[in-house]
Amino acid sequence: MSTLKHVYLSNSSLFVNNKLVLRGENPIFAKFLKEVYLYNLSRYPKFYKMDALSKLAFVASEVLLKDYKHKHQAEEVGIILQNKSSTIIVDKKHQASISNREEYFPSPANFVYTLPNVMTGEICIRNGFKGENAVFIVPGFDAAFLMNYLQILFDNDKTKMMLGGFVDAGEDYYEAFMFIIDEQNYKEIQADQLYNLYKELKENAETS
Amino acid sequence: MGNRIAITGLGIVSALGMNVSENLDSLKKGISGISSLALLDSVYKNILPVGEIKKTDKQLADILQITYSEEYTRTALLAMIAAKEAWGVSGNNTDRSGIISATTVAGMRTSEQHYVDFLQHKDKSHFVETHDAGDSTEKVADYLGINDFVTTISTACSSSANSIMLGARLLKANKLDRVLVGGVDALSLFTINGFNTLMILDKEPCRSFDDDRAGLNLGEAAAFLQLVPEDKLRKTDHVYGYIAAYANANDAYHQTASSPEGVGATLAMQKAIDLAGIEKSEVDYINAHGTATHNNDLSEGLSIMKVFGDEIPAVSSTKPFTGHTLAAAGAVEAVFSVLSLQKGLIYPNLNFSNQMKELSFSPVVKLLQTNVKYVLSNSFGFGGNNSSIIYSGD
Repeated sequence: MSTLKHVYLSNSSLFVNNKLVLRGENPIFAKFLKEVYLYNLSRYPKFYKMDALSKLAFVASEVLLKDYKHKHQAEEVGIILQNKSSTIIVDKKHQASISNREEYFPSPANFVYTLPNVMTGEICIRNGFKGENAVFIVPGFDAAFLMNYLQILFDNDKTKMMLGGFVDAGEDYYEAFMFIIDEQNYKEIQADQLYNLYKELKENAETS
Repeated sequence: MGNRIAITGLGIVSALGMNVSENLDSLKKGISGISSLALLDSVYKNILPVGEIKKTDKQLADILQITYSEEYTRTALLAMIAAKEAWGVSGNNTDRSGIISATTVAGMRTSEQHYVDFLQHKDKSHFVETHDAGDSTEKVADYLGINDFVTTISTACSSSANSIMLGARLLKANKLDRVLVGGVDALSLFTINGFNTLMILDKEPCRSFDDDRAGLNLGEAAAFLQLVPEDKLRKTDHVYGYIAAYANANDAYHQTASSPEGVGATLAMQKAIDLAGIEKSEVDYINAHGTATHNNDLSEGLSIMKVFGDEIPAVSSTKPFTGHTLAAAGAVEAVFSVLSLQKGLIYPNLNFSNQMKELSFSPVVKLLQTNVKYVLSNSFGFGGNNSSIIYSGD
């Protein structure tokens, strides 16, 4: 698994290749996201209008792609993510604005984020990725499903490089696991190894 | 080309008519289905024209010869009528049959009538069951006895083009023997008000590819195609045409708008032509997405120019006939494209008068009778979910 670049964010901690690179001073999710954004990432003002889930996926992808050298055209790159809680944070916000008969204002700015695949959209827009992109809602990170899907894409020559992972957030929890896989290393990566890596990172973040 | 995907059934219900022959008749006569809203109580009733099917839900149930009940939303009823026509009797007794339908509005037309009541009165809660996008697909599946693969696609205005693509792919991968593909959307306050707040609805009948275009008209429709791989055709199957190729590409530009230069649209058309293994000069007709919004017609027009250069085939949008039927549009226009191949017809782009200054071409304005071998049909969704499908006659 040494060939796989990966990031993990949870519990106010940011890991790059299993190394703790940032420990948030603030336990609040939104503040931690901003800390990661300000942690030597390039400026991207659209970040501020994203919902929490898109922000989480976005900063994970930025950290992941930073200093990552590759020769692929952006158009050949895609992204497949999994998620458990869909867009529950912004859904609740949107619902509250509909239910409030006195101050009824379902905001389009929230509405556009009430689909989980908007997070892959934001990453594609940022990087010009035009390859396969999708989000699958699953009960928990499903490495077997994800690796199978990625392998089919590579085997059928549909892509040269992919981002994959599990990005999930609710009122009082969040985590992002994201990795880069390409046509060179995809055959070496086994689903169970990937799952074990995820578990290990999760445990490290909980105890960090 | 390997095992080709044959089209063995067509079904449609739109503002142009309740079946294939009524739709074809209106297309040939150049009669638009755009009118004032009559069957939905909206403040925009006499302001925003729509492509409405002038049958009540009860009348739709009568056509289907089923007992009308609240179990069936208008979306489900429309889908059942078009699906029944496309599936016919030839679809029966198939080993592995499937249905892929598309919708964006789902059961919203009913839900929005009862929404406030849901929260207070439990007795309206049965409408919750008909709200989700899968409901109309499952109603069709039960009605026709299709049960090996049932799924629903919702990718905005390219939804049913994507259900056609998924169906073709499942057949090519030998997962199914026969599949019903298409889509449906009924008019609802939700879509009328929603598109109105986006300020992209024309108060006049829409003018696709016109320099003075001012937006789209919404429409309602359902359309389906029956697909069979060539090696599984039966003697009783009638082949209307083939799916020669398809492609889907994104814009990576904006969540809800297409890139002005049509990056994803260009990619989708180019990839479809490459996959078909034909020269671009072999495309006889482009049935454009042509919604008549500023954004779409500009970016689609520019990408047609980019792909076809100096030799642009006949182009027209049939949205001025039907209105923009959202999730159903790709399937509606698939039916029109297959009829174009069969009958050698290129449909007029109604309401056109002023050349767009950004474009080197203008759409066909009169019905043309000619030999049509390949039709390229575009369906472009919000945020750049772009699909192009090429249909061939033989």
